[in-house]
Amino acid sequence: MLQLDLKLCGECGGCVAVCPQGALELYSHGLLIKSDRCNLCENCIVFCPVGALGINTVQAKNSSLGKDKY
Amino acid sequence: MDEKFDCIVVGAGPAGSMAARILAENGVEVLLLEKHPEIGVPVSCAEAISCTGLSQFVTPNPEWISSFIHHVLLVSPSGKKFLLHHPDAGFVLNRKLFEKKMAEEASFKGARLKVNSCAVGLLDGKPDGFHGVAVLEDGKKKEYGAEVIIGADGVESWVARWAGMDSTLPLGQIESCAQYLVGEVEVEPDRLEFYLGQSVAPGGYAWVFPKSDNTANVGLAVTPDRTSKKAKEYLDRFVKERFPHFKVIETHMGGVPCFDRKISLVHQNVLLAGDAGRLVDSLSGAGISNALRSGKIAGEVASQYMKKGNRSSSYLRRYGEQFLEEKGRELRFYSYCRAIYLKMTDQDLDDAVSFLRDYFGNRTVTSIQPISLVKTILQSNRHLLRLLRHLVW
Ligand SMILES: Cc1cc2nc3c(=O)[nH]c(=O)nc-3n(C[C@H](O)[C@H](O)[C@H](O)COP(=O)(O)OP(=O)(O)OC[C@H]3O[C@@H](n4cnc5c(N)ncnc54)[C@H](O)[C@@H]3O)c2cc1C
Ligand code: SF4
Ligand code: SF4
Repeated sequence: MLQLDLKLCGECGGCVAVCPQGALELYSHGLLIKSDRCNLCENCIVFCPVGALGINTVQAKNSSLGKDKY
Repeated sequence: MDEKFDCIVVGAGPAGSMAARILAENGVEVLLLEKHPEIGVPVSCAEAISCTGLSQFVTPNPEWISSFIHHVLLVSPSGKKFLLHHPDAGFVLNRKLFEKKMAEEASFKGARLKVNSCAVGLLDGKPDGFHGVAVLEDGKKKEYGAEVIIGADGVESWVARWAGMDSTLPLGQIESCAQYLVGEVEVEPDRLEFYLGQSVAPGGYAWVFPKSDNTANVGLAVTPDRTSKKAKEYLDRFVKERFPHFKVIETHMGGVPCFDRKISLVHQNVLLAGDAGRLVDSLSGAGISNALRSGKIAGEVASQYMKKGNRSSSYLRRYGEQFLEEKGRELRFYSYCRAIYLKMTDQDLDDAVSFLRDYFGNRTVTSIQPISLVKTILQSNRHLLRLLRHLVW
């Protein structure tokens, strides 16, 4: 599963722009990963300027962030 | 529906605030949405803009200008230097203040500004488009109606996706950027510095843009499919090599989209402005001026559309046509230049910088014709000449 290292993420939105699946959304309080849409193409991982995204290597972010508030 | 407006602008960056101001000036009921609680924070930008790129749209004001630029330094991979003297090269802005002023101005003219208000979808149901925007406002779901929607929501633009446009950027069409605002450094307060080379920033360049005589935006951009290392790793190395001593005040990441001639800027009653429309000079990554221009034209066309007699969705296409008439040629030219830049070896970059140094010498330049300059550089030696055929011009 795609995971985000919250400490590294600069909330720049570049990963959102390169995701062909629309699996990423950036709210004012952080990045939301919609794992059900993600096909692990790794575009976002390659793009991220700081290496905040990876597969199953870093601590998972609560993937319901933003969703439950909407 | 919680409330109805004539027009909704999503995103209060330079493109959105400009569009909202123009709409309000024309008496259009406009809602300007910004997802962050504070305008201009965070902003990921090196903040440089040319004099003409700014003053066509906004009167420069020292209140939100950090530095006035008169010199530009290019450093080649092997350390060859070319210093260009230009009396009014441009500015390094204080974008946090600039964006606040732009949004304030829109609001002063009558636009309704809502911060902490994130657009989360477009409302379907109109035969020829969308009839509003779903918003998460202070955590509560709201629905606002509109005749026209302007997506000025930056590189990540979800407005474009919701409208059904394919705006996904391939990895070769976006620059991956990292930047520090550094303090306790010695910099020339009126000089921009650019550093080129595969080992500095593959497929991009590094920059030092002064904010004062002891603070600067130091950053770099890489083309992500050209390197397995991260932009920030290159930046950490660059900043240590450039400055014997520095203190990091802020860290920024970012994505700079490259102009795509195939992208459409209008879909039904949705217009895309600024980075959302990929309206960026692909060679330098400059997007502020095009954000202002596209916001202005989008605002003007949408204002006209709201007048009786102009309400056909084909009228809105004038926005894309007019923008591309003014800037399409230039943006296409810079796309070709980027393609050439990506083909240049470190030796080519050394040759080009040496050529520029000899060509301009120490004279002060007041205007540059980019097209003829690029041709002249490529014709200056037989290695560079091989690249000329890529300038499909
Ligand atoms: C590292 C870096 C350095 C750069 N340096 C320069 C430079 O020196 N000179 C230059 O000219 N250009 C530079 N650029 C490019 C420039 O920053 C952009 O082109 C410019 O900011 C585009 O303006 P915009 O209004 O289109 O988008 P943005 O400035 O990105 O504004 C978009 C706004 O929309 C808001 N938003 C997004 N989604 C939503 C939503 N769903 N609901 C509500 N609000 C939303 C965002 O919070 C943001 O405030 C740089 C870019 C980067 C990344
Ligand atoms: S690209 Fe990286 S830093 Fe930028 S928002 Fe995505 S995860 Fe965060
Ligand atoms: S791995 Fe691919 S599909 Fe999954 S979020 Fe990243 S870019 Fe999107």
